[in-house]
Amino acid sequence: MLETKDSLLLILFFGTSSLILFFGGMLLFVFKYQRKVLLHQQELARKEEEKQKELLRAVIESQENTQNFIAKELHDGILQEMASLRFGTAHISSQLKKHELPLDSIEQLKSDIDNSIKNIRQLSHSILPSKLEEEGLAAALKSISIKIDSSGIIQSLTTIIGTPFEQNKDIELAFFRVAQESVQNAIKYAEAHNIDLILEYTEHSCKLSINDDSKGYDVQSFASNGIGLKNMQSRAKVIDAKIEFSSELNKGTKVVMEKMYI
Amino acid sequence: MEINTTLKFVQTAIYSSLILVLVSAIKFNIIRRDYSYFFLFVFSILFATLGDYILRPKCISINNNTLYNVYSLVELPFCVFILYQFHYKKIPNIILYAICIIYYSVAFFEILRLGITTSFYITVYLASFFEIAVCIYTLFDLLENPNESLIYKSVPFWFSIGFLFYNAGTTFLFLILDKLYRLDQSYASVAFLTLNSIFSILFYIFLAISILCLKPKTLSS
Repeated sequence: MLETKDSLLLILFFGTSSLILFFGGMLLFVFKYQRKVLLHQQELARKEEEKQKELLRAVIESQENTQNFIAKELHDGILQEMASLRFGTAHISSQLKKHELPLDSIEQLKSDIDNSIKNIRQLSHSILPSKLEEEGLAAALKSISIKIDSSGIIQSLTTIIGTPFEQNKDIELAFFRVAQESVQNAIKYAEAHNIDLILEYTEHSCKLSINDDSKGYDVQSFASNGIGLKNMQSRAKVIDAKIEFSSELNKGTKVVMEKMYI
Repeated sequence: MEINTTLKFVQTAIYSSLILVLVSAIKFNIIRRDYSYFFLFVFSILFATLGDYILRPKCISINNNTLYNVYSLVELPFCVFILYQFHYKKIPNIILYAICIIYYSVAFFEILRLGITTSFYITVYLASFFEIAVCIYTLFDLLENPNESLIYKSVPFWFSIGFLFYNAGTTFLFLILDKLYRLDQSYASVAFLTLNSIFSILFYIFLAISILCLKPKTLSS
């Protein structure tokens, strides 16, 4: 009698324990497998992001190459032709003076050519930022402020906080292009009166803030439709920087881009 | 094992079932938006209240086979139905219908053969077997076609785990219970109440977690 009861309890004990162990093991397998799948998915996502970054990098590089080409053509081709035109008008002007003929029209033409030369030079420099190449990001940003300030309509100031350190040329170019795009947006679309550029260097980061007192815009709709903001986001993504846009109607706009070095 | 210890297990199981009911009530706002959620809610309440009734100490001395049989008859279809609602839309309905038809046919023949007041042993074993098979299939199918990025955030995962562990603890118990009851009635009652209470507590906990994983359905789904 006792033996039968014991054998029943033995069946119960071993049967139940083996089922529990089996299901416990299965649960462990499920968790491990899930972890493996998650890691695989993360790896795939990382590779996909890397691919997208490569693509963006190629697009930006091609844009930069085209811009450089245009800037060089403007500077070495059109600008030289304009200079020779200017020389020609000076010669005509001296001839007219010699024969005591009226100089009004030729003087006007000379002045127009001078203006055009100045505009083309400015355009060429903004496309191909020689200041950035020669003196670095801080100087290039300061040159943006000086140019805006010289217009007399909009006030601008560039502040450098911390000790500037040398960064990769692509990173400095990305910061510069973002500053250019933000300033352009503030002037073109948002009627700003003051634009401040703050470049802050810390031990592990470089942060650029562009603040203005413009009428502002809806960041959400602008971000989804505006090419300018998308360009800025792409440039930030390629150099692994963070970019944030904040704007409120009649309260100005703030663009902050930060590259961490940790 | 002393009867007092067993009764403590029974009491804890009853409290856990109350927690399950409470969790279901908290999630009612989500549950009422969709009929599958509603069935999970009803299932939880039914399981908890019926379980409580069976586990009540006063049931130790009375024959509650009829209640057990009713309990067994609703357990498997509910398990299959809820897993179907939350995950099984990918497999043909015919398999699920086949399971239910086989199960009820066996139950019907057992009722004819033994009557409603005797335990349906074959039906109970069949229910355990089908539940284990369906739950294991669900777990592996969840790994292949997850509804959520994290498997342990989904309702069918915890629901299946609950059923698996409940069956792991009670399948062999039901297998030997009748023989043990004939050998030593009081020992069989204590063994049954203790084991069933422990695994019911586990089951209620897993079921409560699965209810906590409920999310409102989006319009597109």
